[in-house]
Amino acid sequence: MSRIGSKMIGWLGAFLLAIVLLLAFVGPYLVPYDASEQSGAPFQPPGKEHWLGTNDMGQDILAELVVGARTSLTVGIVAALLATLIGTVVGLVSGYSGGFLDAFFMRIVDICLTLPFLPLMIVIGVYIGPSLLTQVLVITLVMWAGKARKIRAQTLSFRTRGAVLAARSMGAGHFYILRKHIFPSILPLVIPQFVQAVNVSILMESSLSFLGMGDPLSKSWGSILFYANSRSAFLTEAWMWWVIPPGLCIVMTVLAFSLIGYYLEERVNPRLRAYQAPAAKRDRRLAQEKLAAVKPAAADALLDVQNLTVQYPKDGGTVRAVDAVSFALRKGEVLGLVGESGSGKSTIASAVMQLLKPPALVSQGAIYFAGSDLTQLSSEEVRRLRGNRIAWIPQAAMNALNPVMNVREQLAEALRSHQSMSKDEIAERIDEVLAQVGLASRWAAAFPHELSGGMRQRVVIAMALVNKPDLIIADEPTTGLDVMVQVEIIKLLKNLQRTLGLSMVFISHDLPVVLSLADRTLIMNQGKIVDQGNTLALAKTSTHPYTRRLIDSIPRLTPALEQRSLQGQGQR
Amino acid sequence: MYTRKSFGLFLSYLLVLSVFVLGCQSNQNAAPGQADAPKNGEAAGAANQTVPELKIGLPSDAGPLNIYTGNIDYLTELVFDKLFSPSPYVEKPQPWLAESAQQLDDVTWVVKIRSGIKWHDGKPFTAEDVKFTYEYYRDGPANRHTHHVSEVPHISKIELDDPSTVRFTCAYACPTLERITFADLPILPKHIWENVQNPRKYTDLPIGTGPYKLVEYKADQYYKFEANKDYFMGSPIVDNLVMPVIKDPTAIFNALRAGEIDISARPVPAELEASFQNQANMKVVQTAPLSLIELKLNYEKAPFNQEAFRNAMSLAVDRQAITDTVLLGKGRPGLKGYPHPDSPWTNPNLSTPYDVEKAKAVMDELKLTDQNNDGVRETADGKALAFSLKVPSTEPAWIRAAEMLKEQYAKVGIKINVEVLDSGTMATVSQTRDFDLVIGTIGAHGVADPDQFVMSHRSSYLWNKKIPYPAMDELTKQWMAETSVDKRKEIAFKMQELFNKQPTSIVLYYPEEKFAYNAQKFDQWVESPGFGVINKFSLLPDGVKKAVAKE
Amino acid sequence: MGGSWFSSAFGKKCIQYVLVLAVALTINFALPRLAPGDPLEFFFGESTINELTPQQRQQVEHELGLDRSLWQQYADFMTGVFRFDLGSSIKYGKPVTEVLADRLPWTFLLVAPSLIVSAVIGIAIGAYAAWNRGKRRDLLFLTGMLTIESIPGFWIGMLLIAVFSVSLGWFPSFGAVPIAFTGGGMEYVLALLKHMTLPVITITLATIGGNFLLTRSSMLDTLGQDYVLMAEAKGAVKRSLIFNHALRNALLPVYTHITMSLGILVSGAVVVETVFSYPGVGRLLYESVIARDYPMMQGVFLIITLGVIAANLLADLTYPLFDPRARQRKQVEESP
Repeated sequence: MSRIGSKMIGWLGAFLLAIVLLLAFVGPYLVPYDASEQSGAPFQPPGKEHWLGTNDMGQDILAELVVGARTSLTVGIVAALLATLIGTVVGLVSGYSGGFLDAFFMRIVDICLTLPFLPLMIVIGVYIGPSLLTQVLVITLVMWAGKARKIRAQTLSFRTRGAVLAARSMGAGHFYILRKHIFPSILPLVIPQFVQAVNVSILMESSLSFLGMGDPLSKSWGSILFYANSRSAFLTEAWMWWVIPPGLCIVMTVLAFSLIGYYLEERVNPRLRAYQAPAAKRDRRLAQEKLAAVKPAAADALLDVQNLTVQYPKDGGTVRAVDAVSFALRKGEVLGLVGESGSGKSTIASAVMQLLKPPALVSQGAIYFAGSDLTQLSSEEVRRLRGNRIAWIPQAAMNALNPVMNVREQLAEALRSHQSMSKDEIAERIDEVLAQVGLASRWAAAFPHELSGGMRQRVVIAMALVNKPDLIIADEPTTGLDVMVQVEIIKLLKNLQRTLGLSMVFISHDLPVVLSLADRTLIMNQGKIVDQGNTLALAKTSTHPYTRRLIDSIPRLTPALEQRSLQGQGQR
Repeated sequence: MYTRKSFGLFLSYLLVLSVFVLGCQSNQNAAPGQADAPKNGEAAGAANQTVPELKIGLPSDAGPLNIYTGNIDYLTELVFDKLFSPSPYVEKPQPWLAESAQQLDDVTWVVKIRSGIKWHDGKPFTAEDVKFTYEYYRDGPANRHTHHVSEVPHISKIELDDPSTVRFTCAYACPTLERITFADLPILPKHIWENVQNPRKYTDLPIGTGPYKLVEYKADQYYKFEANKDYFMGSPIVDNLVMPVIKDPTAIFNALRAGEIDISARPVPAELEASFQNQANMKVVQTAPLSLIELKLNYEKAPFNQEAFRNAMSLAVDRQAITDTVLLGKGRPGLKGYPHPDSPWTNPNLSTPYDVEKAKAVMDELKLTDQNNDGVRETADGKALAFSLKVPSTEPAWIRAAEMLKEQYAKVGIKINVEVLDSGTMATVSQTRDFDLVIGTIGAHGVADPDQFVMSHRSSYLWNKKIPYPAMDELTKQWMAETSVDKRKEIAFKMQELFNKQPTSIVLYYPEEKFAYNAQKFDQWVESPGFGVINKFSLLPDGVKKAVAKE
Repeated sequence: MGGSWFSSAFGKKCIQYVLVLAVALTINFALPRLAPGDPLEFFFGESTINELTPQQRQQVEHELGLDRSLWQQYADFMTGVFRFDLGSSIKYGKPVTEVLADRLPWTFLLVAPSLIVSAVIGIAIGAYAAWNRGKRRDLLFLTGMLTIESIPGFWIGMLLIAVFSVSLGWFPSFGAVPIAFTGGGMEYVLALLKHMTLPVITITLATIGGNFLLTRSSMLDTLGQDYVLMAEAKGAVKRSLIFNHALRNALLPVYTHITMSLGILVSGAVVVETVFSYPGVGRLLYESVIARDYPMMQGVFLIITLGVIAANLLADLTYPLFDPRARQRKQVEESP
């Protein structure tokens, strides 16, 4: 949907640009008059001879418009090209070299950005004298600094990337690295910058010309407006054919570049594509109808996933991320879900949480939780379950906390979303749950960035526990943490599970960890469950080639398993 | 949600509105002139009773009416009076602050001062003030009036014969002192100006004897005047004048149409005339301003220093075509040359015709021919006749005229390169004379005052007294020695003829000026030559008005 | 308070600003003098100036302080700046500071409401569109806002005048108050509002697109963040998701942008003030450039530069109020 949307925007932009280009290139050959020729009486209204009337000198306005398209486009593109070029070079050199050169360039950029640009334009315009060249120079001067700053920021982020570091360590020359590694990565960012610059320069050109600071002798859309305004076009009906058309031309051109720029920007900037609005209700209904004929959940299962299929559209067809997966989880049980990245295990977690990112959707199957099918519940009903009865410990917990809220606020919100509690009760519960995850209560006042990675993960776990949920979905909870911390966190989870008797789906690509935690384990590959069973049995006796391959690739497997089975036996 | 809705609403609203407005607009213009009939009656009724307030839109700001820093003559004269009125541009100025003037011999005049007149601050006006002012002009810093005392003519002695009589003694014959000098120099209050350290930095509100006191001034925003009820020529018929400064032409006429101002001091351009004539309460009055639009040649530079070449330059200009296009025919082409033909001091037989063939012939004779067949003539040493023509960006009509001149000169083999400069640069250019050709304008003081014509040949405006110009110098010498007004005029006519044969200023056109005003509010505007209709006489009672104003 | 003030982040920022200010001041001093043209012209008008003898010209130049060496003028200017003495305007014959004080309130009167309206609407619609990303209403808003952003400000102004002022006569087309207004109290306020309406709409429309786009993309960014997903997973209500989690974070860059634009808008109002003949700083600048009124130009430049720097400083200083991370960084850097 969004792809189509932004493509539409891109196409619309291209279409408008095509019109403008046509106007500029072909227009002058089609309009029967020369723009600088006095082809009629002054101030003629539109008629057969002159479709848009004539100006104060008897020149054909339509002819002026098409010639103006050339001027405006030329100024816009040349100035944008220069500004982007200078900005890119300065940004690249500054960002790449760092040190004194960087500081020097950036101070210049700072100063340039502090200078009032319009006054600058006026003064420079006056100093050099009016001509198209002046306009180009002035606009370039005003725009390059902003571009330089943006390109520098990008360069900085590429400078420390692997390929660049590798090339450096192999002794590649600076110029070579810039040309071969950094510039190609920067290029996709430079293009939208350029397109936006074209926009700004066309607008600036018209403003300057309108103020009489352009070159009134050259035909541009701005100068047409300058004459229209100074010959009082507004006070007669002449504004309809003398003011509106050039204005519309400017809007159309700028819009064309804006749309294209937006489209390109969205393509190169993944952050703009990360989020997608949930599909409209009726789309969900459609999907739900297919789910109708599924048998009810097994009576003793807390979670019963039946024939779950998750799919999303790709390249005209659909791809199944999860393909007819069924499993069940009893109360107090830990279910391990193992597979390589892309095997669909995290998608199952999202499906259970009802947090699938569109356009992915559950196309078949059912997810029964405590007897009701989650896929059939209203979004409010799902909300009441989430964080309350089903809790989630996400992967990449480093970023799972809101940076502008402190720990207490975030925990309190989880509580308040599901229960009405007094302030004191909330405080008490927060202290309690923090203690459970091994954090002193003073950390409640801290902001996420003040915590280490491990502490953050503890907070996230606390958040999952705070409402005493029936089920916890732990989706690779140790990703991104260093090894020591991983061990600690796993230990913590293990303890919590034991002491609180948690039911948990534990998802990981790290087989040993799963083996040490889970009662039962599912092995997934390419969206399907390829093997499953009691964890110990699975590890020891599975004959499935995929499982075996996974297990055999773990060198420490045997001692770890032994240890665990001993522990397990000792406890039961 | 609501933001989206209201936004959509706003858009559709705008759309509907603009459609509606477009409809209205064309209707308005389709039904021309709902007739002028009813307003005459009302206006007549309004006569002779005072109007509480008039709002006059000004197109530019002139500072706090200090004649040393800015001049808009019609504003200056609301506050200040001269010995004679209304101006040097009429046949016979009337005594004003003076009771009478008498020429005793070729170089001596005595002026009797009116008694009982008071300055705005209540101090009495005396002959001392006149003596002080003339001496201050002669000896002090220069302003636009001072050469009338210090050079052409030169008043060497100013004495008081008695407390109400001033005696002026000139350095050489000064037959036109009464008609020109006395009618041009505003009289300043001695008790204020003798204490002024630096007149150019003086920013207090002016004290004069005139019909209006300036009570408030906000730079670039507005002037507020109050009637001087004790004015010696009769109490003004408008109590208060408010003059907002509205520089943008569209804004000023828009304000006039909307009733925010009652008259615009910016003349109505030809393209708007009809729209104001069609408006029920509006009238448009035509005046013949003593101003002209000129193409100035830099006489210091070759080849403009050749008289015959200047003649060719003049012959090549099709002034009629320019007038038709730029003024939509509403104005007169500059076929009668310089100075302004409507001035009583201008030779009525002047002529500056358009004749391409003759222009070519003159240049051929000067050996300025196209040797390399590129369409542009060259001088004997192979330099192409290519000149730059500079115009200010603030005057779109002049830019258009320049574009036409370029084509016209191309026809006779002269290449013109038009350069549009902002008015700041433009002013410097013409002052440092760093130009080939410029387009400019000059008002009544320059083109209707015979002394100024002579002065302009000395000051560098039309010629520089350091450069010999034997024919003109000879005539100037005769002119200065001449003691009779009429004979002087004859000599001046000869000078003008000579000038237009080899002009350093080619007149493009004499603009007509039309002023649109709200006739329901005030309908007693009269024209004073060179001042338009916004002048102090329009605001004075009927009797006085008739005596000085143009029919 | 470990470490000296100079090594603190705030101290460094201040030094940087002083440096920028010094360079900007120098450029401000130099720029007007590079332009051709001469303030003398505007005293007398062209015809008078030509009648002045060279001696008289020199005398006038001396009176105006234009005959001194550039270095002297520069020294005067720089020392003057710190005494808030910017000299006297040649054109207005008044102290530059006085003229500025006269004009500044008018510009603020236009800019402040426009900024607020444009920020509020831009943010609201931007957040709404982001929340509905990919849906038809998002596309509509997006293209709509891109279109509005493509319209030159002066053209909006001209059309508004043509429609609402010339044709309908609902709003006045120029000035800030009716000329010589005598009514008091409420009437005066009403008149002010009437005069403000069209220019404020113009500036609002000219700036709203930027606010919208920035909010939208910033909001899209935060909506894709893990903490928003986490908040959803913990069962937070939609209102909290949007406001507490997504928007609160998304507004951080928007806040910086808007605060910084405070400074730029002082000069950015030139075109709008010209179209509406509004007596603000922008038009003052335009007029003084045309008149080559050096002291006045410098004054306006100074005000604009100060405005930009002050806005930057304001953004720097107030940002930590909204982002605890910035607070922390400062503390960390302050302690050695």
